[in-house]
Amino acid sequence: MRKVWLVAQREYNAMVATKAFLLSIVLIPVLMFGGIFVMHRLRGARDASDKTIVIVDGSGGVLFAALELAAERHNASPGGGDGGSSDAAAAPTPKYLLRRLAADSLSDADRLRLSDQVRLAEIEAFVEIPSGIMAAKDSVAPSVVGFHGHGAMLSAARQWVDKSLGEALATARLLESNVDRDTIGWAIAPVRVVPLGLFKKTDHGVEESRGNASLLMPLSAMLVMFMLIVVSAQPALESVMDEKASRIAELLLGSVNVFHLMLGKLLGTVAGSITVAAIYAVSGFAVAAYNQLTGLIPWEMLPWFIVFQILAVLLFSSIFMAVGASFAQRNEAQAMTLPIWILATCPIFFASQIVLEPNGAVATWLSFFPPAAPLVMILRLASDTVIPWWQPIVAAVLLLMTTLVCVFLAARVFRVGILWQGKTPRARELVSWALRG
Amino acid sequence: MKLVIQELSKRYPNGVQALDDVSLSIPTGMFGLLGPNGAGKSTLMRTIATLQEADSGSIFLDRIDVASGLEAADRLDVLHRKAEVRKILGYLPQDFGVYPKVAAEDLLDHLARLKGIVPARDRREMVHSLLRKTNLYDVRRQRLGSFSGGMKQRFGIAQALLGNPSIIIVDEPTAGLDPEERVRFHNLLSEIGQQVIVILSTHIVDDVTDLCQQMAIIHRGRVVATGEPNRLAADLEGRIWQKTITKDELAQLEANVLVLSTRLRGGRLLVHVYCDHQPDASFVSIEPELDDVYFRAIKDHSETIGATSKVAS
Repeated sequence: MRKVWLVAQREYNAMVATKAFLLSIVLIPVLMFGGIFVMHRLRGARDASDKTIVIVDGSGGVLFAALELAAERHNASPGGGDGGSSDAAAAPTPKYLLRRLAADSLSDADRLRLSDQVRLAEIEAFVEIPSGIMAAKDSVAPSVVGFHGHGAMLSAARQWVDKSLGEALATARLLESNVDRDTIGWAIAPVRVVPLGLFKKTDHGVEESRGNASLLMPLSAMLVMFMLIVVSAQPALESVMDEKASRIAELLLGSVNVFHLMLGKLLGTVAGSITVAAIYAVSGFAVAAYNQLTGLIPWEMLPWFIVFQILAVLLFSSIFMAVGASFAQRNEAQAMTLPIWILATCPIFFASQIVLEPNGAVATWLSFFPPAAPLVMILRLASDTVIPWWQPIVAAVLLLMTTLVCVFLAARVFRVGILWQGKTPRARELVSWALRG
Repeated sequence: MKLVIQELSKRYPNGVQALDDVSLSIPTGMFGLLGPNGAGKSTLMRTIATLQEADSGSIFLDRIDVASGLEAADRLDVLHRKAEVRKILGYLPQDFGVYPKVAAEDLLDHLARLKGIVPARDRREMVHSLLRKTNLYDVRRQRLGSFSGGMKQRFGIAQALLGNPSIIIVDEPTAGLDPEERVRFHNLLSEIGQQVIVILSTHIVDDVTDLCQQMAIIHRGRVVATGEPNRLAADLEGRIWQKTITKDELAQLEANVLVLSTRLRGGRLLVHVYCDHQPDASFVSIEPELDDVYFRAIKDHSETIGATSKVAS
């Protein structure tokens, strides 16, 4: 074990003393969280120029009049807010200028002409309100209104028309039924549902557990874990490839057993990962303390975070070291890491679903798939939902077993591969190295 | 002390038979392992150095028991007691690398710690002594990346000498060195090889001639000759003939006699041939050299393999 420790010590010193490592500590969070910040800022800096919407009103002008009133209210309020979120109120939103076409319906030629106007950015969109929409209560009225524009699915203008037309239609129908305007206004006044956290007992009494952070906390924990995997596994690959290319491994193997060499390198990598984690943790705590947000930190999941982090780093670093040992050319090794990265990142694609349903089928099954387990379990554990107590244990045991098998097989590949020079081994040879050593 | 290799074989997954029933007895002193590139020398070196597994066979180190004086009384199984072997082994691989940003003294110290030289003071003394021995003491704080080929090779021998090893394996150590560095390296090796087993693997015949008391020639994984260089050369006494010819005459000569080697001299070819009697009056008898032993052994073995494969097909 003393030799393992010496190799680990050297590996750790070499890892943390590089400019690349120091840069990665700063750059990866800047890129990841900076990306989120930039997206947030860009959302605030969206196009706020006036938007002209052409309305083809099949109701004979009743709904257009109601929409015009809604547009006036929207355009008059600061930031165009209709009682939306505080973000929406702060960010400038476009004014909607409505223009009614004389016709009650459109021909195909009209539709082509209006579409061209949208393409030329002369108008934002055109809306087709079918005739018969104001039909009597006991007759069948059309229930679909067409909104034609760029990116109609995500368009803010469509969302505004959808909401405003719904209110206008309800108002018009209620007026037809002789309900007075005050009553209508009272009845259709919107109510906002805001996302808040659950309550729990604390030293200060009953407090809302994490408020708006209930979504951010799991995602942040997952991103931090992923960053730590990246800053550990990639240097592990580079280190093995460098030693193989420079043939220093042969020198070392004259004094140390190949399993000890690989184990030492792995432990050095884990120590490096823990160093980064500690730096992130201290920085994160300092930021949270400065903003008086330390109450949001889920201390109870910290042990699980450490367990899954170490196992994840061991798993991916051992695989990357085996890849590094197997290939003489750097580009071949990098290409080989692509499917491994896909495995590592797969929980990120399911992140929103896992956060929304931490005990759903996808979240549960992915927890028992070892390459995905660390990120998935951290997402689930950081959520407010109670996870069945046995699931993190089973996931950790499965991950531990897989990690041990991977480290063992990787060590066998490493043993042959580190002295292998020249042509790239075939897949069959790699399997043979892993199984027979 | 004696290293005994018995019936050692190794076949690579791609079908290459790197070692084929190799048996050798290597006594204390410099032992030359001569062979062309791809002969299996590096595989044999790596197997002795515990870096690689053999398919079959054995390697034992017989040490002299001080009490009884018997050589085989303390027998170390090299293939199965690798940790013990590494403690008494110094290995200088062919084409080894270094950490380019690390100072020579620091890397040597790290390797000494890996070797198990624990007391810091002893380690420091040993590292400094080896750096002096290899003439690197003045540049001990320099980064290894700035070392010349010869300096790097001397660093390689310094690390191979860590822990006062009983067996030192040096694989192609003089390849790429300029003549001055080569001479300096030879002096260093001969100084070391007086009390311990030094196995010198090379394809440069002069290295073996200059340094080794015992040698073996290996070709296509098999030992094709073994013994003292002088005696092996003496065995060819009276059967090596020399002649200067033109290039056009070579083909005809090869059809009649066993041509061992050709080298250009003044635009003409100086040929050495092997023959029990003088081929003709134009040939002169010469004192056999190790080159002649080497080429004869290789050619004989190639012919044997050729004949065997013809019979098999």
